[in-house]
Amino acid sequence: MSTAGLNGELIQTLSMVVVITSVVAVEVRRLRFAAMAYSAQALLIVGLVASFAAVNPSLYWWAAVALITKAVLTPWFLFRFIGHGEDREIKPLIGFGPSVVVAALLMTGFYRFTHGHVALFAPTTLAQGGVFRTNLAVTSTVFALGLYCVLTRRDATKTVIGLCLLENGVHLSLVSLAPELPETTLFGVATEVVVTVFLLLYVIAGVRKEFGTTDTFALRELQR
Amino acid sequence: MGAFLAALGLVVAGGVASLLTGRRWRSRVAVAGIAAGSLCGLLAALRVLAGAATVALHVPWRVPYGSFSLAIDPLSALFLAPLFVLAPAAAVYGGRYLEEEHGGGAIGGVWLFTSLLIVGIAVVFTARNGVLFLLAWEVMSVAAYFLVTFEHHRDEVREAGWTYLVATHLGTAFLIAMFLLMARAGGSLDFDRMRLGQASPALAGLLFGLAVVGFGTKAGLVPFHVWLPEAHPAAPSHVSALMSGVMIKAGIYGLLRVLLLLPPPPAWWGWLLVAMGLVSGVGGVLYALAQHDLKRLLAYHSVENIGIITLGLGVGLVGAHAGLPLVALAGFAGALLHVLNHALFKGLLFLGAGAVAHAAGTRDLDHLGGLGKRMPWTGAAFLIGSAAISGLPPLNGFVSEFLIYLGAAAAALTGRGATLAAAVAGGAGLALIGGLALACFTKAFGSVFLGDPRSPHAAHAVEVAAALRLPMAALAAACVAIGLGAPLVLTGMTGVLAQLAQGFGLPAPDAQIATLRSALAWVALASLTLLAAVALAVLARRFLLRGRTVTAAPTWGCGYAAPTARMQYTASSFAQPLVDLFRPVLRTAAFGTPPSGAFPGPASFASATPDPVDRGLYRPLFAGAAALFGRLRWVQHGRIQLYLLYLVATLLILLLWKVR
Repeated sequence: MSTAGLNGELIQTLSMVVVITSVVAVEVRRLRFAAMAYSAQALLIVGLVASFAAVNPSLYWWAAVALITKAVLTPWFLFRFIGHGEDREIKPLIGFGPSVVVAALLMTGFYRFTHGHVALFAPTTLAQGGVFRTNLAVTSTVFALGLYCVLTRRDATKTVIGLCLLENGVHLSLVSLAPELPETTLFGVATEVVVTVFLLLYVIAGVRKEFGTTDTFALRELQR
Repeated sequence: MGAFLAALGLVVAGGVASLLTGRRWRSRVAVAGIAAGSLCGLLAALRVLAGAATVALHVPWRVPYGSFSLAIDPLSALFLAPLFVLAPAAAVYGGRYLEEEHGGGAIGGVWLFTSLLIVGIAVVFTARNGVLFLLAWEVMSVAAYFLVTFEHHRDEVREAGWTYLVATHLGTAFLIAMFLLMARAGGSLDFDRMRLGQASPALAGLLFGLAVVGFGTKAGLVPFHVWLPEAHPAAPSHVSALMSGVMIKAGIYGLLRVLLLLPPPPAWWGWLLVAMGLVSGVGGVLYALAQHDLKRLLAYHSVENIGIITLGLGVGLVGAHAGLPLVALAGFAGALLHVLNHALFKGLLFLGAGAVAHAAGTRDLDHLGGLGKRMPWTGAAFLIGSAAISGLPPLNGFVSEFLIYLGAAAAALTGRGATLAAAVAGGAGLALIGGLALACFTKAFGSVFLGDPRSPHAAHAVEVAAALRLPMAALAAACVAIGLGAPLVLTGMTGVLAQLAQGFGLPAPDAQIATLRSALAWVALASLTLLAAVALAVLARRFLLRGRTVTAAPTWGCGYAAPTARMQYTASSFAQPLVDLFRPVLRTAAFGTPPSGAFPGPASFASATPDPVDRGLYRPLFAGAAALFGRLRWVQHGRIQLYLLYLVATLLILLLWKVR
C-alpha cells in the first residue's frame, strides 16, 4: 500500500478542520453548538476515511459504518438528549480564557510531538510516511483534546462529547495503525461506541430527572 | 441443514416481529414463529435420529480461532429433539398466560428473549467451534437473565436475577479457560480439527475439571446449583419450563461433547460423576421435600434429575473404563433418555404449577388444596407428571431410571473393586432418590389437588383456558407414549449410542442395544399388563357398586361433625417426619409455639430451609470478597473526572510497558 493514489491536499485540509472542530466542541458553551461541532467532525471523519479508501478499498466499509454510527446515530442521541433540557453548559473547572490557552497549547504540543516522534507510536513503515503520519498527528491531537474535555468539564453532556472525541481520535488512528483490521472487529468497535453513548445518555437522563442537573459533581450524592 | 437454518430464522423472526407489532398481534406472531421454526428444527433432528448422515455447515470467520461451523450429528439431534418439542408447547402456553397475567402489556421483550433463548440453545447444541459455542452460550445465558427478571418490580426477582447472572458468568469463565487451553493444546477450536487425543493425563484432567465446574454450573449440579432454586421460580412459568426442561441440559450436552474430544477417560472421571450425581440427586430431592413454594420445589427437583443424569453418565464412564460395554451402554442410554424424559415431565410440571398459581393466586403449598375437583384437567396432567418424575411405571421416568439401574446391576454382577463399589453406591443411591421423590410428589400433589382448599383463593379457583391445558395434555401424552413405547425410542437412540461407543473406544454396540431393547420390551409388556389390571379393577368396582348409593364426605373428615380445612395435613406437616429424619443435613429451622397443657391455647408451626451451600459456602465467600474490596473504597470518591483519569493512567502504563 502506498500513498501514491491519495489526494494529499484534500486529506491535509480535512485533517486540519477535524482539529478545529474538536477545539470548538470542547470550548463552546452552548451544548447544542458543541453537538453540532461534533456532528461536523463525524462527517469530516467519514470523508477522511473515504479518501484513504482510494488505496485500501476495504475502508469504504469502514466509512459506511462510521457514517451510520458516528454521523447519524450518535448526533441523533445527543440532540434528542439536549433538546429537552437547558442548553447552556454548567461552568467548567477552568474559565474560558485560560481554557482556550490550554487547548491551543495542547493542540500545537501534541501535533508537533506526534509528528516529530511517530516511531514511538507506530512501528510500521506505512504509518511513518506522508499523509499517514499527518493522520496520526491529528488523531493524537483530537484524543488529547477529548481527554482535556473529559477531565475539566463538569457538565455530563460535555463529558459524553469529550468521550466521543476521544473515541474519534482512536478510530481515525486505526487508518494508519491497523488498515487490515477485520470487518468483524471494526463492526464491534463502532457499535460498542454507539451503545456506550446511548447508555451514558440514558443514565445521565436519569440523573437529570433525579437531581435536576447534569452536573457530575452532583453524582457524589450517590455515594453512601 | 437447510431445515435447521430455517428453524433458527423463523424463531428469531417471530421474536423480532413481536417486538415491532401492535398489542393484539404480539403473542400471535411470536407463537407462530416459534411453532413453525420448531417444526422445521424437529424435522431436521428426527431425520438424523432416524439414521440420516450427519449434516454440517462450515463458514470461515475472521475471528481468531473462530469459524461458523454447525453440524447435527446424532448427539446434537438427541438434545435438539426435546428443545423443539418443548418450545412450541411453552410458546402456546405462554401466549395465553402472558395475556391473562399481564394484559398484553410490555410483553414484546419477553418474546424476543424467548426466541433468542431457543436459538441460543439450538446453536449451543450444534456448534462445532469453541468461539461460536461460547457466543451461543452467552446469548442463551443473557436471554435467560432478561426472562428471569421479567417481573423486575419485585425485589426477590431482582435478587434472583442477580444471583443467576453472577453464577452463569462464573461458570462461563471456567469454560473460557477450558477452551483457551484446548486451543493451545489442540491447535484449533474447530471441534473436528482439534487434536487432544495425545494430551497428557494432567492436562486432560484439568480440562475435565474445568468442564465439570463450567458446565455443572449451568446444569445445576451440587454444589454449583445455588442459582437454580432462585432463578427458576422467578421466571414466568412457561420460561421456567424451557429453562428447567432444556436450558440446563446444555450443561450435560457440553460435558458430553467435551468428553468426546478428550483422551479416553481414566477411572476417576466416572467415579467423580457418580459421586456428584448422587450428591445432587439426594441433596436436590431432600431440599425439594422441605420447600413450601411449588415452583421452588420443582426447581430443586431439577437439581435432583440432573443428578440422576450425571449418575447415568458416571456409570457409563465407569463401564467404559472397565471394559464392560453393557454397563457403559446402559448408563449412557439411561442418562440420555432421562434428558429427553426430564424435559417432558418437568416442562409439564412447570406449566401445571403456572396454571395453579394463575388460578389460585399463590404458589404456597400451605395455602392451596382441593384443586383436583376445581381443575380436573390440570390435576390429571400434574398427576401424570408427578408419577413420571417419581420414576413410577408405566411412565417415561421409570424407563430411563430403569436403564441406569440395569447398568448399575450389570456392573455389580460383573465388576470388581472400585467398579463394584461405584455400581452399588449408584444403584442404592438411585433407589433412595426415587423413594424420596415419590414422597415429595405425594406431598406436592396431595396438598395442591387433594383435600379441601386451605385459602379462599384456592376455593375460588377455576380451570384454566384451553390454550393452557392443551400443551399440558400434549406433554402428558408424550410421557405416557415414551413409557409404553420405550423399545422404539431406544431404536431411535441407536445412532447416539454408536457414536458414544466409538468415542469411548468400545466395540460396536449392536448386541448391547439388542439386550437393552429386549429388557425394555418386557418393561413395556409389564406396563401394559399393569394398565390392563387397573382398567379391570375400575370396571370391577363399577360393576360391584352398580345399583348402590355412593355418598361423598369431606376429605380428612374423620367422623367429625364439623370438619374444617385446617384439620388436614399441611405440606409442611406431611413432610415433617422425613425432614426430621434428615435434619442433620437439611438444618431446617422451625418456628412457632407448640400446643401445651390440657386446654392448649393458639399454637403455630412454621419452618424454613435455606440452602446450606449458599449459606455455608457462597455467602461467606462473597462477604469475604466484599470486605476485601471494601478496603479499596477510598478510590470510590464519586468524581467522574478522576475515574476517567484512572483509565487513562492504566492505558499509559500499558503503553509504556509495551514500548519498553
